[in-house]
Amino acid sequence: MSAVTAAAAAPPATRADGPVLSVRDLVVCTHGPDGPVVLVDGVSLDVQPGEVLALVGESGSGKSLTMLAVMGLLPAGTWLEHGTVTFRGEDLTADRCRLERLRGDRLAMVFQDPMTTLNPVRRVGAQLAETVRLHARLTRRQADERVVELLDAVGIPDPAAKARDYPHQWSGGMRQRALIAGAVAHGPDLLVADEPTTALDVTIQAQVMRVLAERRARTGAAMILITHDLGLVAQAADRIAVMYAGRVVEEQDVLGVFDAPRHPYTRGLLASVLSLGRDGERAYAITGQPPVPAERGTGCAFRARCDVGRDLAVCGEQVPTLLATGQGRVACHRPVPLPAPEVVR
Amino acid sequence: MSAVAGRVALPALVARRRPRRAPRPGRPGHVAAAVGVALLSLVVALIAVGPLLPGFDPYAQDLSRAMLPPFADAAHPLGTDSLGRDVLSRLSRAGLVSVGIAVVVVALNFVIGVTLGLLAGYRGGWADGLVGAVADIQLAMPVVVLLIALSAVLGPSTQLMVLTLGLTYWVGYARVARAMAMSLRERDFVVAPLTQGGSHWWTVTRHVLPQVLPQMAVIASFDIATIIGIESSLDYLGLGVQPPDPSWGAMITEGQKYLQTNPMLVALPGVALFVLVAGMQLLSQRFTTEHVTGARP
Amino acid sequence: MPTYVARKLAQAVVTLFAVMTIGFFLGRLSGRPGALILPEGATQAEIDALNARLGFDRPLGVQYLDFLRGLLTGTVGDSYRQKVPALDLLVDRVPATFQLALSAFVIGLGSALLIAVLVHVTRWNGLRLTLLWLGSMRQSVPDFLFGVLLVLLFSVTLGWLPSLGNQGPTSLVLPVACLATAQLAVYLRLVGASLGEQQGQDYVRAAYAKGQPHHQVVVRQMLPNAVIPVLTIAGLNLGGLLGGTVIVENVFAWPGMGQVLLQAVNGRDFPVVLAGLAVVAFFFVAVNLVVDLVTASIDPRVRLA
Repeated sequence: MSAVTAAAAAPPATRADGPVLSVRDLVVCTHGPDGPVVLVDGVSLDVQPGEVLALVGESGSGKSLTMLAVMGLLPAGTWLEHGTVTFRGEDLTADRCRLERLRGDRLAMVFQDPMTTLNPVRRVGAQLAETVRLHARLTRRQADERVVELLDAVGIPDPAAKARDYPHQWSGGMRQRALIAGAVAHGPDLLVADEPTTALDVTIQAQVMRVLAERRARTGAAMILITHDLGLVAQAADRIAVMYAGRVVEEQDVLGVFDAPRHPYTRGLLASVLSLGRDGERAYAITGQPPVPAERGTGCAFRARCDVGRDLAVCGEQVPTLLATGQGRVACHRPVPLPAPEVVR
Repeated sequence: MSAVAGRVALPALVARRRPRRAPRPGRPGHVAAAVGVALLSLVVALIAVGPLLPGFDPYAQDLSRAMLPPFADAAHPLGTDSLGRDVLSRLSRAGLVSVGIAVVVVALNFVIGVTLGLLAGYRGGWADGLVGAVADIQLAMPVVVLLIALSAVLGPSTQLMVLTLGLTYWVGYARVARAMAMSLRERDFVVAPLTQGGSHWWTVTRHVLPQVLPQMAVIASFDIATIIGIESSLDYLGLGVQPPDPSWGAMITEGQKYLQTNPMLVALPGVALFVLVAGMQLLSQRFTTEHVTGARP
Repeated sequence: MPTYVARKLAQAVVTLFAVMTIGFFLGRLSGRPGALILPEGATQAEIDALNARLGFDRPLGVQYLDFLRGLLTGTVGDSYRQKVPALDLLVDRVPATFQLALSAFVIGLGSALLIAVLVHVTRWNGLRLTLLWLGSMRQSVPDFLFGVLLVLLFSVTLGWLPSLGNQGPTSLVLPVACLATAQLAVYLRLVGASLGEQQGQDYVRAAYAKGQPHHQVVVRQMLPNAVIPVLTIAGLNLGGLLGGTVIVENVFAWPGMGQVLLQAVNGRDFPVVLAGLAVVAFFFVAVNLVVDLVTASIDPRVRLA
């Protein structure tokens, strides 16, 4: 094991005081035909060192945008209107230069489509070597050696030869594993994985998740797993934050949320997933569609699809705030009541 | 606590790094268009008013009054050339000739392009392939070389140039017409047997053309400026309008010999040419973008 | 890769052949040239004799075969006016034309790349808009007019540079400047647009995510990808470059192919023009081949297909 590998495997200094990442009141907007449109509406989250937080929601819920905003990678035409991002105690929103230096080093991100994430005209090994040399003083040869080690660690066969390939010559699973290896090469404190398996075959998904888990165990990194797949959440996450229409609507331990979801939307999500296993019954799906950002209106964004909220005045008038309950937090005027202890499943 | 609920207008918060509204490409704004109109009206005035002035004659030679500078003689406000011909008259007539030629050329391009484009888009298959191959050759062949080749065989003339240009610049129109025809072909599912091909063609032209024509007519009118630029280059080489007929390009060829002594012989037609082409370009930027993107100014 | 090259070579040969065939039949459009070449007052006997000497009394098919046979031995026929192979008249003018065209292209495209990258790295929008506007202005002026204006300014008024012929390295400056600015205007816009397209791509975002600084992202990640479509267009634009070169040669009396070709027009000397077509077609095909090969060297998806 080279000196470089040893350094990367050392666990991060434990900070007993406080979360790795702390997001407060994040607001992301874009241009609309009649003025600015709010896409992420006041999101607050914490991630503790070493834990896995799953950020769950449908497309359009703002989960990706939230993390892109944290990383300073918002696409053209969108901007951070408001909010603070604190990473290991530092305020990143105040200092963009600091953020850009931390990217790739302490704060890393893995994206959804491994084909488009790699530069198609450059060899995979060269791109990974570039990643490795960005935050460590290595010679070309040292970097190449390190790349071979990384590829080997994530199970790429014949890594030295494969490194000379171009991205289109590799399979999707191989590309994603290599990208993960690159992302955690410098032992970041936080890894953001934006739908890392969505673009891959189901059979490859497990392999990639394993690699993620293993790399995390090596480096001790915390992870934010953005996904719409509750199965992955059950498998890999410690805590879950559910987003709907740009807001966090529920936050809980994963075990707790599967047992007792408090927000009607979360309950609906779980019901639609779990119902797939039962023979003979129609799969459950929440009626309707999430509202388009420009049409979220006043009050709770879920009210139109909510059995309870449809008829409640307060749901139409006031946006529910995220309040602590015994198990976590929920933003709802009439949270789902806890099941009575003696209910048998 | 979540941010302010249900808002349409944002409260007055400091927005960090709020990006400018992305500028719409190719929209130089009202000022540019106004300048374009001003420039164009100068040329239109030259062409229209010229013939109304006394003593208008682009052909009359008078060697005793040759090479007069502008304003030296009331009868020749812009001077005379090496053969004593009135520069203003020649400038004005040349403008008319150029615009006339360009209109005919663009009309030819338009008709050929739309016909071939509709054929390629609607029939597809071999027709599309054939038109595409011809288009590729057309695009690769420089018109100057082509006209040189034809002129060496048939002798240089205005008609030859008009015909050549008319057969050269149709590809742009064909592309648009083809795209429209293809989208329409997708929309109306064609089940008719081959024998009915004729009537389908007629129906397509009835539906497609009314939509396509206005858009392309606008593009066509601005192509006139481009064609005038090309045509004057050909005149400059002696491949287009033949003496004694006046053309700005030929006037510049003539004038280039006297650049040291009387630069006006080059400058005046040069300015006229530039003003026309630049004016058209400025104006066209505004209109073509509007049509293409449907955006309001 | 070898099959790719072989295929492109085969296409090149076919194109050349097609162009020469079209050229041949073009030259037969006006029938027998005898009457056009001889001065007025020539007798019918003289005209017939000339036509016979030039081979026009034979059937068209036979003439075509003779022509093809000539092609294989490297000639397109003799000039009507001068009794030498037309290709010879043209070939020693080719280096001068080539010098002009190639310099203009390299300087034009090269500067466009440099400037576009600079503008993109500094994100200086004012500069970008100014340059685009300047480019539009240059494009509204036909090449010959711009050339004459250059002569007026730098030769006549300032006396800094020569305006005619090829008297040494300084003679190259104005003609190249005239052509290169036109090329620059075209390619600056193209490269700028291409870079802009790459900016929104996922791999660019991923590069920023791994901590790569902006200038490195532009040069190492975006530029190779941005250049590919521009190269393809460059190959197609060659025709325009050649046409422009002929015009500019005329403005500056540059001793290249343009002069010979225009003289041939006046003399109705078609074989010379045919030779010109051959050279132009060859040049065009050769450059497109180079463009294809360069593209293949940048883009692995092309050569490993």
